Amino acid sequence: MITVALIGNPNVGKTELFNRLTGLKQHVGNWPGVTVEKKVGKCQYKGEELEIVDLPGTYSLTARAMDELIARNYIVEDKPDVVVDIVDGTNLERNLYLTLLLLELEANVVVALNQWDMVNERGIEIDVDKLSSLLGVPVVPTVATTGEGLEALKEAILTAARNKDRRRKIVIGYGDDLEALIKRVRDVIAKDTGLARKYPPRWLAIKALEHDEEVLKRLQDSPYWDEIRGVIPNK
Amino acid sequence: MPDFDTGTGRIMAIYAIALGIGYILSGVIEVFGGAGMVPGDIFGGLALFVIAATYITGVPGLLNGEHGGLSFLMGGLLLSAVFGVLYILAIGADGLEYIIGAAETLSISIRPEIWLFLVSLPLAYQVWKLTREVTW
Amino acid sequence: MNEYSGEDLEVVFPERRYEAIAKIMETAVRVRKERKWTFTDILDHVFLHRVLGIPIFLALLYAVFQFTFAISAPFSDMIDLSFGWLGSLAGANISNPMLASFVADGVCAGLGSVLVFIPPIFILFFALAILEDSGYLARAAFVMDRAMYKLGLHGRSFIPLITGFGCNIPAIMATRSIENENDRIITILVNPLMSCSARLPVYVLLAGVIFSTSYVAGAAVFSMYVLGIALAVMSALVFRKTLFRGKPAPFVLELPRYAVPGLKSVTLHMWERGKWFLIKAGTFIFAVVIVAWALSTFPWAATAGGELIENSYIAMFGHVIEPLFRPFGWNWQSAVALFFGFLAKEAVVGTFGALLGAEGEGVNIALANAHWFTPLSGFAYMVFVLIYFPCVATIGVMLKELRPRWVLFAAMYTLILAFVVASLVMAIGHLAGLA
Repeated sequence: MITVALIGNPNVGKTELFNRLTGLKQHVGNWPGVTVEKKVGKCQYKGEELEIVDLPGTYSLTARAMDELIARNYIVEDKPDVVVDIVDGTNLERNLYLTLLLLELEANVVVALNQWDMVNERGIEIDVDKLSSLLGVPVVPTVATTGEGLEALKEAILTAARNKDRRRKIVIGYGDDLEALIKRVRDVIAKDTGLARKYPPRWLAIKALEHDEEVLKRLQDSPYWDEIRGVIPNK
Repeated sequence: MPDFDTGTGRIMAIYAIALGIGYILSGVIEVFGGAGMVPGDIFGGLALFVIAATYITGVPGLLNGEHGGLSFLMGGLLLSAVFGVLYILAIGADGLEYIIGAAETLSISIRPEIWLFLVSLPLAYQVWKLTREVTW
Repeated sequence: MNEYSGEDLEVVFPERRYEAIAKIMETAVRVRKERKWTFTDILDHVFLHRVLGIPIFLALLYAVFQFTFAISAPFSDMIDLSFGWLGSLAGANISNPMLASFVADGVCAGLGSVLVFIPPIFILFFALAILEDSGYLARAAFVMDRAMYKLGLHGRSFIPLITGFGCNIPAIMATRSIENENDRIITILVNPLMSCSARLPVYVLLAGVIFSTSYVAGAAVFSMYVLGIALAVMSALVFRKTLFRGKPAPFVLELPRYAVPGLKSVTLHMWERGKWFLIKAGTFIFAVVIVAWALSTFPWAATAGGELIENSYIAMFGHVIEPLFRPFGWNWQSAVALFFGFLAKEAVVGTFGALLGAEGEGVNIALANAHWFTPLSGFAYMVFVLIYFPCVATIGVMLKELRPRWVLFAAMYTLILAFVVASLVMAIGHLAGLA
């Protein structure tokens, strides 16, 4: 079975896509510990069973809002095979922020470029191949309202799930100054092999530098905490 | 440079004013207790004033052939349709009541919202022709 | 290397991400110069209009309730007819008198009186789903938020509030999208004032009993929803000025595109929300109604098998709490119904059913013949039901979201507000000579 998480900004057609993919085979429960609705559905594709989890719609993945934390924890803790990031093609600039955060999390991302019908109508031209190569992940144009592009999306999910362990070659850089800082923190964190195996060290480093409360809490339990603290600039 | 032909705009503006007056008159009767086929319905009457206001707000824009005028016309037409269809369905529900024997008499009330909706249809056709190329 | 302080970094990282995005946009995306005029632009121009926006929202809301009222009647009658048939069948075929009373007066009367509200509740959800799927509901939230922001309230609060029309519980959960904690607490505190669908049966029953014309009854129900919005906005304003001073966080709200709502998705929405009513009716409300029946038929000998309710436990209890409500002209039965309404507001109707021994629309007729309410006292009763106490399920969710003292505060202020507003309704009614 392949586990697939659906994520995206609010109002990008995520629910429609989820319904399209799963039909009425949905199960509604709660996220552990909180009363936020968790929708899980199933779908079959080429003999494989896909379990699709609908994550809360968010703009970002900080530890500040409950919705964002739920989505982020699911991706880092449960490690779904594929994370489908649904972006509104007519509002790409804003939507890509979440995409970048997902790439930072080193999730196995497939981008669904939704509302593709509107993109052309609005006079926007998106070079899908170029976008895909810049992000280093597959990009599939979709129209959730009509179901267009859904087969291609499922195919991309399947391929991505099979190539899960292949490392992504593209890393979106933060500029030399920040990269040096990231590397320094990352190298210290990487000494804690247990932690580094569980979470992407680069992500931990970036989040620690951003003073993310949840990540800092986790790093405090590390035997290397004093050393880590030494390389993070104080607030 | 107007967005559409001002001649068409003028005709639509006159039509919108006529509809606006129709809604105001019906609204006044509903607010002040009803008469004939028009029932007394305070909130319903106020809703008709809102529809009238929507139509009339669009008039200057229509006269200048601006998209903005078309907006109010379309908003008004949508509201006309909502209220018209609502009371047509209500007639159907009353009929169903009578058929299943829950109501002893068949009372059909053709409220002004219904005929105002019917009157608005030719205008809706005109707007549809103008916006055929427009996308969501 | 150490030129950045921690403070800077929190800003610099997002900045760099946006720079990276800008670079991607530059190479992969090209926007043709001429911007087309879309239906979304056309409709937003009128629906988000500074003056017309709110009146149009209220007019559409009015249409939604007229629709709910007018269309559901024949379907409710069908359910009612079948329940009446079931009840008389049970009454005639069960020889044990206690069991017969239990089935006919308890199960059929109590539950039947709640289940006739399946059609209005589902139709209301259907209409709201159309508004939501068409993209209009987000606009309604926007125009209300814009107005509320001017009053010093947080924008983005209104989406949770509008969700409250369905049920306060998901609405309170939806407040998690509000980042500022004070804004979130205020939105949760006022949420129970948004009239949820559980209160609809009470309004429909009462309005049908006290107003003979259906348009007037529909208007009375609509006025409950508007009153709920008005009270929510006013209470929020008072809390902002007293308990939580300070400026609300500025808001940005993204509006979805308009679309023609699809029948399948609208039906799915309706079902997802409506099924909770069915589940609740089958479990919780059923249990409450059975308790109400038991309390009204025991002690069995003294009440002669439920014939003399005046001698029952429930009457004893009712007479104790009745003085509280006497100024409003409500009898002990209505007071008891309010008490059970603490558990779930639909239980008010179920209790009336059990106390009157009538089921379905029969409750309507029995209540009208009993002359328990004048139009004024009945309207005040509706107002009271709107405002007093969030139901226990809502309290449960609030406890998860807020500190206990805020939950206690929510319970207290709604109760006090209910007494105040219902008294005002009575006073204004008396002054206007409606008594």
